[in-house]
Amino acid sequence: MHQGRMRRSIVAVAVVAGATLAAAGPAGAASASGCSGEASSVSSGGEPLDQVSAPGGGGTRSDPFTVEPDGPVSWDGQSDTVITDGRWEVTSSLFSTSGTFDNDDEDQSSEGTKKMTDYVPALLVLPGTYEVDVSVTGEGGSCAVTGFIEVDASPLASAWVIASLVLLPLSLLMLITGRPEALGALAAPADTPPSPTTPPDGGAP
Amino acid sequence: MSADVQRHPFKCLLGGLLLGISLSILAQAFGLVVVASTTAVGIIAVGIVLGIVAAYALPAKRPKAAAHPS
Repeated sequence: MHQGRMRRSIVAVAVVAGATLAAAGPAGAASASGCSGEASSVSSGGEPLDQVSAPGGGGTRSDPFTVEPDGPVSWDGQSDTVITDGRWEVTSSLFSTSGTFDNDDEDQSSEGTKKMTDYVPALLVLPGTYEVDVSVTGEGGSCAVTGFIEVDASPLASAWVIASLVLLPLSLLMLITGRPEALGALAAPADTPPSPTTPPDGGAP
Repeated sequence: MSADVQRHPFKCLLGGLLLGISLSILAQAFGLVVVASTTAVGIIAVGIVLGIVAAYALPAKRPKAAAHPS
């Protein structure tokens, strides 16, 4: 197996994909076509966290593949056919990334280890469950994987959450103070002319 | 009574937009929903509708009565 070239080519695709999400998806009710693979995640402290295989179990909405932003994810995958000169794409509501590959060695398998923070700064990671789509298309075939991952991290460590906690009361304040205002309903007219019967000095002799 | 009403549509729409964005982020972060892009857009749209309601459908605030000299 030619590790060096693989990572640069098609397999780099899987690297990104498998790194955090891709391999996570292909399981149970998750869909995978044109390829298969396994992935396992480890906590940032080095303890085993979760594993998934496609086809197999895990990576579904009810049983997402759990990863930690700083925890490494090891994966290996195989494509059903040799795919060369193509494009890979990983999309989710957390982030999207894509690239091209050549796979001159015509490899059908690859493996690697990646962390989510290799692609997203830890401060910008938003915890929660995400649907992830991975696709590889090129000459000779294609591979598509859809699954769910759960990013296990403290919400209060995310800049997005902190910003939202600040914006929430601010937005409510804007809505409350933005109510329509009646103009001059009770105010006295500003330019009331003085009564002609009353001299300005009070009529003193 | 005067029928003149001063509205603040930009302020309300911005408030609704920010409300929708912040709620969708918090819902995702605390695991209340799996936010797909369509879900996030839906939550933000609800915020914008709230902004429109606040700007055009709420009854106008009455100005405070001026103090009467005795």
